[in-house]
Amino acid sequence: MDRSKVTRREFLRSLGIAAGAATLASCAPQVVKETVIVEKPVEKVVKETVIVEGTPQVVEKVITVAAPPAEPVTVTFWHVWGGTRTPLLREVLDNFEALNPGIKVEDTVQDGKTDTQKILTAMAAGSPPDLAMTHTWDVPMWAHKGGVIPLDGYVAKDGIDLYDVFYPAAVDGCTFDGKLTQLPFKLPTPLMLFYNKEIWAAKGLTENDIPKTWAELEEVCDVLLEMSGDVIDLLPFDICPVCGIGAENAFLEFLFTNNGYVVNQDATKVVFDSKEGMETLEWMLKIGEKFGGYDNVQKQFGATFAETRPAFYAGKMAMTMDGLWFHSMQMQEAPEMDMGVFALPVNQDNPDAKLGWSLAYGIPGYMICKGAAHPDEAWPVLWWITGGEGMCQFFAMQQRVSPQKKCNENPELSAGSPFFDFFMELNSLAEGRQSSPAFPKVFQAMLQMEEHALLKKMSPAEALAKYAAEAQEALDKAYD
Amino acid sequence: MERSVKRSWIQERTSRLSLKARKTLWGYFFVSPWIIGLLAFSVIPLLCVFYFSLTKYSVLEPPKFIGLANYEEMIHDELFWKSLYNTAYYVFFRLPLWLIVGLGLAMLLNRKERAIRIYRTGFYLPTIIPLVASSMLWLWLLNPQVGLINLTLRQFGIVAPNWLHDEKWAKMVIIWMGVWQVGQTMMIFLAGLQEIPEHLYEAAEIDGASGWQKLLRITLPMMTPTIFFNAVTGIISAFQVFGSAFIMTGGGPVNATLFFVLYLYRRAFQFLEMGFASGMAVVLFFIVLVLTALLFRSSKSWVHYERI
Repeated sequence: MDRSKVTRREFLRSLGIAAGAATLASCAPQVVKETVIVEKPVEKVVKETVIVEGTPQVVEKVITVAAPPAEPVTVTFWHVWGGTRTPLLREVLDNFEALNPGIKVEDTVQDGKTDTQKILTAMAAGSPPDLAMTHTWDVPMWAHKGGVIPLDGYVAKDGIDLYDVFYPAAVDGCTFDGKLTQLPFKLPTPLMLFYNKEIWAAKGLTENDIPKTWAELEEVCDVLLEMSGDVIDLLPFDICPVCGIGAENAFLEFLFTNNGYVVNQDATKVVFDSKEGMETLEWMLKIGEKFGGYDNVQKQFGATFAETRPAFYAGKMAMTMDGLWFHSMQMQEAPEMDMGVFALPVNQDNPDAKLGWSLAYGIPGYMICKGAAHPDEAWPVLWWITGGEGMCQFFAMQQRVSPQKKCNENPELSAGSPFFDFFMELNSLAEGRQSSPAFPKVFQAMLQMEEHALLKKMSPAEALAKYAAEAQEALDKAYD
Repeated sequence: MERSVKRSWIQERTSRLSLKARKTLWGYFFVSPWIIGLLAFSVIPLLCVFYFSLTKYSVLEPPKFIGLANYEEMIHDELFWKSLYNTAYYVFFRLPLWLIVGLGLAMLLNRKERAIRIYRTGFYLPTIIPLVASSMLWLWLLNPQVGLINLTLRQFGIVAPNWLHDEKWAKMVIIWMGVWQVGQTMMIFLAGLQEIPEHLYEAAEIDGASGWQKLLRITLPMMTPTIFFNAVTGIISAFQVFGSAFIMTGGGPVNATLFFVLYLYRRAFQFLEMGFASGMAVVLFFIVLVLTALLFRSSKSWVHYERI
C-alpha cells in the first residue's frame, strides 16, 4: 500500500473529526467580555421641509439625541409610495431614525396592484412586514379574520386623543367592531370637476357659471359640447371615467350628491338601489345621451383616468372628473394649463343633498400586521408618519391636504396651492364610517351594476335589482 | 494470505441487493435533488390545493373543512361560467393563430440570406419584453384619443373603437397581443424546419412539385412533431392567460375579459376566498389535463415521427 496517498477511509475519518471538533467548539461556553457602554449624547443632522413663500424647501438642522444602542431594531415597512414620493418618504423616515436611534426603518415600495397579494403571502409564510399600507376596504376584511393588530393599547399608553389629532372621518373610517385597526394616511375627499379655464373663456363661461346643481351642469354641458354626428370634437366631461375599475367611482360620487348611501349605518343592508340610487343612475344615463351615450364617450375618450387625462390636457375635454391628487399630477404633466376646480353639483330636486359632502366607507392607512416581528417598535414609526411630524413633512412636500389637522394649519401650504383651501373645505365635509368585511364584494357588485346600466346591457331598474341582491347576499355572509 | 476488507454501512446493507438494484438506487440518489424539488414545489402544493378546495380558507385563519360546498357554489356562479367561456374563447382563437403565425414566420425566416439574423432577432424581441412593460406599451398604443393606432385610423376618416373597452374587441386585442409575442414558438418551429432533410425537397423539385405541394406533402408532415409540441404547450399556457387582462382591463368591459385565472385571483386575493380559488384551480387542472390527454391520443393519427 502506498502510504503517501490518502485513502477514502482516512479522508472521511479526518472529515468526521473536523466536523466533531467544530460542533464541540460551537457548543463550548463562550468567553464573554463585559463591555460597559457609556451613553453619550450625539449630534445628528436632520432635514426638514419648510414652506417658504409657498414653496417647499429642505433645510438642515442639528439636533442632539441619545447614543444609539449596539443593536438597533429594524422595522420593515411596505408601501406603494413610488416614483417621486419614494425619496420624499425616505427623507421622512431618516428624520425619524435620527430622533429614534434604536429603530431603523427598512421601507420597500410595492406595486399597488399586487401589494395585497404579497402581504397575504408573507403572512401565510409567517414573515409579514411590521408595517403595511392598506387599501380602502381591505382592513375590515383582514381585521375580521384576525390579520391586524389593534392599536387601541398603543394609543391609550401614549395618552393620545385621536379626535384631537385627526379629522373625525379619518378616525371613524379606521375602526372595525369598535377597535382601531389602522391609522389614516389620507382622507378621501370626493371626486371633483377640474375645468380648463381657457376653453371655458372661449365659450363665454366664467366662474359665475360654475354649476351647483345637476340641471346647471347640463346647461354648461350644452354650451361646451361640440359634436358632428357621433364624433365628439369637444367633450364637456366624461360621465364615468372609472366605471368598472378602481376604488374611485363616478356612480358612488354622484350618489353622494343625491344624498344617497351604499349601505345602511351598520353596514348590514344594501341601499344603493334606493330611490336616490335610481335617480342617480337615470340622470347619469340622461346626461350621457347628450354625448351620444356612455358607450360613445367611452369609445372615443376612454374608460379610466389614465385614458381620459391626455384628452383633457390636449384640450379635447373641457372638464375632467378626478381626485385631489390630480392637481399635483397636472402640475408635472401639463403645468401650462390654466385649471380651475369645483365640487360635483347636487340634485336640485333633493332638498337633503349637500354640496361637497361625501362618505368614506373605510379609509386607506397603515396597519401593524399580525405576526409582525417588531410590533412595539413599529408603533412609533406608525405614529410618526400619521399623527406625528413625519406626516406633516411628507404631505407638505407634496402640498397635499393631510388627515392630521395640525399639518393643514400651515398658512404657507395654502399660499403654495390655489386649490388647497378648497380641498380643505371638502376634507371638513367628509364623513367616515366603518365598512363591512364584505365591502369589496359589495363594491364589485356596484361596479357591475353601473357598467351594465350605462352600457345599456340592462335597464337601470334591472341592473339595480340584480346587483343589489348580489351585494346583499355578500353582506349577509360577511360574518360567516 | 487473506485480506479482510472492511465494508461501509452502505455496502453492508446493499450487499444483499442485485447489481441492477444497486445501480437503480444510485440513480435515484443522484436525481434526488430534482425529486425533492418536484415534491416540495409541485406535488405537495398540488395536494394542498386539492385539500384547500374542500375548505373555507382565508389564509389569515386556519382552513375549515366544508366538503364540496365550493364546487356547488361554482356551479351556480355566473361569473365562473363567464370566465370559463372567455378563456375557452381565448384558447380557441389564440392557439391556431399562434401556430399558424409562428410556423409562417419560421418558414419566412428559414432562408440563407444576408441579415436574416437581424430579422430573426427582431421577431423574437417581443418575447423577451416583460409582460408589464408590454401591457403599458399597448395601453398607450390603444389609447382612443392619443394612441398611435386610433390616430392613424382617424387620418383615414375611421373612428376606431376603444379597443380595450369595447366588448366586441377587447378579447381579440388580448389574443393578438399574445400572438405578437410568438417569438419563442417561432424559434422552435425554425429549429424543426431546419431538421427537414434537403433531399426531400430536391426530389420533389425533380418530380415537378409546386410550392404548395411541397408544403402539404413534405413540410407539414415533417413538422407534425414540432406542431404537436407547440400545441400542447400552447394549450397549457393559453388557459393560464392572466397578466394582460389584469393590467389593462381589470376583467372589463362588462366581464368580457374576465378570464378564468383572473377571476381565480380576484376570489383569492381580493375576497380572501382561497378555498374557492383552490377549487377553481382544481377545475382548471382537470380541464387542461383532459385536453392534453385528448391531444396526445389524437397524435397517433396525425403526428409522424418517422425520419427518412
